[in-house]
Amino acid sequence: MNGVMSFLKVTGGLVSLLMETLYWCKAALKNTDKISDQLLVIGYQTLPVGALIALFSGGVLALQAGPTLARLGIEENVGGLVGLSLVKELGPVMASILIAGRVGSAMTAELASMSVYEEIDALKTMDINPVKYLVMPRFIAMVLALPVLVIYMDVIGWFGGAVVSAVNPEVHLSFNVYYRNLSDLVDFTAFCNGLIKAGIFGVIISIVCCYVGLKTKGGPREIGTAVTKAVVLSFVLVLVFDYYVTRILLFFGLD
Amino acid sequence: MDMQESAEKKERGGDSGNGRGMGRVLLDYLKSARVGVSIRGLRKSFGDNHVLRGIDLEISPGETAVILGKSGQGKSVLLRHIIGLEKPDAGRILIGGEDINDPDFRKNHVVSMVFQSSALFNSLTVEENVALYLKEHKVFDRRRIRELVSSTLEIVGLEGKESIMPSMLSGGMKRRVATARALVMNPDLILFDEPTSGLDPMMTRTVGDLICDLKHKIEITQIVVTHDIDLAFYVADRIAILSEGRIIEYGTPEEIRCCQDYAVREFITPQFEQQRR
Repeated sequence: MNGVMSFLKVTGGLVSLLMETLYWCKAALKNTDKISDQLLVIGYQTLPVGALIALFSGGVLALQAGPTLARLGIEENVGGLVGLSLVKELGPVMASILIAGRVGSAMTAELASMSVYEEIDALKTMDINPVKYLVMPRFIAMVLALPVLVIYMDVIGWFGGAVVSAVNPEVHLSFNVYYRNLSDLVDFTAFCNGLIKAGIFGVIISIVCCYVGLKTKGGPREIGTAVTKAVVLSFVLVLVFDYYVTRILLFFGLD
Repeated sequence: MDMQESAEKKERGGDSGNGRGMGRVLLDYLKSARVGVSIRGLRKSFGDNHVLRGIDLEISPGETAVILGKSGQGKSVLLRHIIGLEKPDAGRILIGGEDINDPDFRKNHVVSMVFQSSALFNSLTVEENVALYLKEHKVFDRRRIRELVSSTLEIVGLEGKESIMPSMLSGGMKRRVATARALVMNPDLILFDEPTSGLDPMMTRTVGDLICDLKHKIEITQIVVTHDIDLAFYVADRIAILSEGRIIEYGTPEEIRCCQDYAVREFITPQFEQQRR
């Protein structure tokens, strides 16, 4: 019974924080400085590690699928397979996991520490709404940065797949053939599919990480626990929502 | 008794002991609305722990009230109720005749608080911390904010520390930045939660002088929660003794000194003195 109550409480808290954050989005234009600060952390500083992960993910897809397709005599389809896998699934999920681990954890730690050391209370006494001041800029930056990061990682992942397909003697596919097949199969709808997912995952990660941070009470140990909780909850919700969003997109013929 | 003598000097209109006094810029800016505070039947429990058991307190406009009590008696909880960070189980708090839970209360009154932990924003510099309220509420343009912030920092003895991060400051300096942050809000009522805990005697004196300056020059209503008896008698117009969630005595410092109630005497007479007797 306690578990059910706790689940309902967290779900209610997350939905309520999301609603309040959406309400405060009206103040976004007056807070562009805070949003750009967050964009710098979420987007720009994630680029190097994002590139590395995408390059090797694209490469390993080509490495696994290439020889099998070559044995079936359809190795020219490696480009399409790597392209579609990255655009529809791996790109958004990988980027979200990376952002949840790298940025979401830092977000929770910062807000949890602010809660524990009465900084959130101090904001309230100054009649500054913590959701408007702290959550809204992070939310907008995350929802903007994640789709862009996904496009960036998709492109680098494709390149990783192309390099491996070209140098692997079992596949030995030219860049031209690889990219022609990729552009034949990856259409605008598939691209949008990935971006919609990225946007939704951005909402999930920012709201979960801010919620857990703001609700933290206690001391340094609780800050650590909050970070773990936020990251694990973000991972789980990203993967669960990935399934349901895919189902919905399939239903509307966006796949 | 050093503090007492200084307080008497102050009553006669002498200058503050810190030698700084209130800067002209800040003095022109701070315009107290002289609000009174009325607390009626305030009760609060956390589970089985009944922290406040019916607090009744009247603080006149421009008065400095000190709430004295042992640790764990509910002093900070009472302060958190006055500033609206806690919701009472029962009772009301009126500031300037308005209930703090009225939707328009924040539009008509500004209440600021100096937290025991200072609660500075660690990701902001000293200047950004002090300027935050003015900037977020767009009270003035950037030039005026900068002028006010540096004037306030000068008053608390932190001139030239604008660009320093809070992590580089000592506990006493943090407390002074928190005081500056509370002052620039131009509050009608200012609350101090243990303003001198962890400070050396010199800094304790500076904080005491600052509270007296605010009282005499701005006539701002202040509530100070402390267990520092010297500070209490130095700054207070009236002292409330809080014990087991109730106000057991409320009066002027003289009335409290003459009070024969055992619990009051036990608290205001230092332990060492009691043992010596």
